[in-house]
Amino acid sequence: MADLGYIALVLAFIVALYGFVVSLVGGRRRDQVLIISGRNSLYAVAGLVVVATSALWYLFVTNNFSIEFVASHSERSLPLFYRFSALWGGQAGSLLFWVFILSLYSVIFLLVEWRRQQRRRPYIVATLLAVHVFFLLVVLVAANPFERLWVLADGTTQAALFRPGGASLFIPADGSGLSPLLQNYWMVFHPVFLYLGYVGLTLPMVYAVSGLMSGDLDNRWAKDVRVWNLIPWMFLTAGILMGSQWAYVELGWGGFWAWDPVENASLIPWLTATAFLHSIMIQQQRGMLKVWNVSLAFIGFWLVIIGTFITRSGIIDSVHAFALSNVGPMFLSFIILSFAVFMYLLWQRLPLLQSESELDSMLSRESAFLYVNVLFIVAAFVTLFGTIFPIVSEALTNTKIAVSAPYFNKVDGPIFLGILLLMGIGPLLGWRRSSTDMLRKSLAPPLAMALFVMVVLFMFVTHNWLPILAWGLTGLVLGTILWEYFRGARARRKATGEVWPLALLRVMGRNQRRYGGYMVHLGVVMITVAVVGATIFQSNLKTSIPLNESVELAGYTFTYTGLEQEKLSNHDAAIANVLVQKGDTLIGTLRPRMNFYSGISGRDMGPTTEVGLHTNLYEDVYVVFNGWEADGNLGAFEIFVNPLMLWMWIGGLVMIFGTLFAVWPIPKSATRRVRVAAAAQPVS
Amino acid sequence: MLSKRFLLAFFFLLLVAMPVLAQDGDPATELQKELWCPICQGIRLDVCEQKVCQQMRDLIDEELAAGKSKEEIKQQFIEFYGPVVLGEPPRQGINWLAWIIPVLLAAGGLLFAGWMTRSWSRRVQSQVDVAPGADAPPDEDSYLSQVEREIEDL
Repeated sequence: MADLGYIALVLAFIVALYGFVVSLVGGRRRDQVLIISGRNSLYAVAGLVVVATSALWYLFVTNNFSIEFVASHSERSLPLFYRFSALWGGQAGSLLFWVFILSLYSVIFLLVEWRRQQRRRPYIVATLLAVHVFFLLVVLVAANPFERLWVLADGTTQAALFRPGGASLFIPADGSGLSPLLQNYWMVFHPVFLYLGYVGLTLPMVYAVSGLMSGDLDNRWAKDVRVWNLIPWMFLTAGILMGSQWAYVELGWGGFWAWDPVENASLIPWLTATAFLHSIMIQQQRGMLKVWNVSLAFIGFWLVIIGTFITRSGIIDSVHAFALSNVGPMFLSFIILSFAVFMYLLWQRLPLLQSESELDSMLSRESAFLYVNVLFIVAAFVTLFGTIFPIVSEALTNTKIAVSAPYFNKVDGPIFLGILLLMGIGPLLGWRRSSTDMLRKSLAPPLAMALFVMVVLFMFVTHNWLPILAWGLTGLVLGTILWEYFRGARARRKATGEVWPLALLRVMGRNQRRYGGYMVHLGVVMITVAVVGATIFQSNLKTSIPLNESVELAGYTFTYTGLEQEKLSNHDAAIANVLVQKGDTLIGTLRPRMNFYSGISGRDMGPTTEVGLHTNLYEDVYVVFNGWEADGNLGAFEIFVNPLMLWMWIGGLVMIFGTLFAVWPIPKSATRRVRVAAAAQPVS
Repeated sequence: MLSKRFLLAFFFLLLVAMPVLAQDGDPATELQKELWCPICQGIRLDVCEQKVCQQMRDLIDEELAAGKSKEEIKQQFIEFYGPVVLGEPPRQGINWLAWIIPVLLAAGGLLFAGWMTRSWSRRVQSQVDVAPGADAPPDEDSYLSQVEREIEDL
């Protein structure tokens, strides 16, 4: 099976290289036979990659420990569920998984776009295959998951594809196990979603680059690319939030975001993709920002590659970073080469990318979009800069420094507040121009909401200016969203005489994109509320509790009532029972646990914790079990009360729902019916 | 409509309240929250389970009891473990770059956006061929037609 996987990868590489060349030549010569051949080779590559990935899955499921990657990331007692996800538990497998997702996206992309993109076709195929060629090369040369373990003549073991001279195959009796930290259900879904987002950002880049190569650069692409940016963006959003949820329940330090390089690597392209989904609206509506959009589409992809380089090359120490490998130099070369090619193409096509419109006033939705775009890009680059700064500083001064939350909160915090402010004002501005009078009129209700929130907070909750400002701004954004829904429904009601709920639904259905976008904003509001609540108002207590005694924190009483043990297939667990009460009300028993894994990686790592969590809309009670003494008569705990935390996950769901609402295809006939009905009504 | 005076009064109140922010809590806890684990990346001292962090926490208690100030103890840790314990680049030497560059980037970005919007709108002012009817900003009642127009543009 390993041979099959390996051969499939080699073939995929050769076919991808062939398809890349014939697509370019076919595009130049407008030779349909070559163009079709290029497309077919992309389908073939995708098929071969699926075969290779399935082969690796098969090796995991059947516990084939002669394969080094399987032996070092799985074990006999690993539940089937995790044997499946172990594929992306290490470098070689996760790079293969990258290509796997890229292949799936490529096929869907071609099936949908082939008819629409007459001029771009060969270049779309060529660009997709170029990315395939690079990743297949890395998997084949630098990080091959199909390498076998061999015992050399001198008794040492080595991983290699082919038998080294005088060596014999080595099959360990059992694998060394998957990192215990990855044995959590969030770690099964989080990487998949993250990859769907990460890899999906290749598609906007493919649009931009194929446009530059073919010269087909009219504004239509801004409309066509939208869904191919929004879907990966949605996956990336979900992936980032799932990762935070994993960190929250598994790492046991009471937080959800540590500004770890791996987390930053996912946030940075998210920021540019968010900027891009706003700025293409300007091009679609007004034919402006053409160079900017083409560049952003490329930069999103480029930052994904840089992020992968940072996290996969081991260049920066981090909880997740893999060991130093020769993957690094290959990625670095690709980063430089792809940038050079893109700049050359852009420079060649600059004359085709002139702005078509102007503004009538500096106060307009376009300018708000531009400012918010700039803030997103600045946030992305500041985060990237902070992530790589420790290497620069250490190289120059020989002293190790850390760039963690205190730094990022200080530099990114104000930028995010600026973005919130623009989220509150931008939607109220009209395209082209807005008079200050009109703005004042439409801004009054949201502003009133913001002030109301701030006054209430100041009087009843806190005198800390930071949450007052941040929550005040979320109040402004919330006010704007509600006001927009209300105005839309009111105008529709006036025109058609429909009842309020129907008017609201119809006006939303007529402009899914606008109102879906506001739903996404609503999700952002909820997440901001949670982030501010759980970071600034967190209470925590590190303590040891004797059996049947209690401690108090933030109005809760915690009583340690006993220790239990549990044996599972590949680990033992020690579970503490902690009775939680609020005042006289019994909340329940939380069961935080410590897991002791028997595999090699488990022994290296020590026990992992899984928190006991009680959650409601108001706050999370979060108990970490850190150990025990005297036969369980004394338990060591860390207890957190995190206000408003649940809103983070609700906000995430709202963001995803909003995105789906914005892109969900409504059958044309239905839209037409509504349009005809609306047209029949007098519009005042 | 909210009066400007009310707004001013509100912000004045907020300013007056600012000093209240300097909350005084337990100095040991405060210091633990300001320091970072010298081994793991991005884990705060008060929540870190590493042995070295437990020792650091104990040391903080001892030194505070011995009458040392928070700042002195912090300095002591920086000397012993290096600036890693700050969790951010120290504001000295080459590490100033970490603080200056984000400010420059943000300022540059905003200046760029300002320059772009200015150049967009200036071009129009010199042309004066604004579409008839476009001078009157759409009022509240034509909101629906504005929304409709935007849909048609899609």
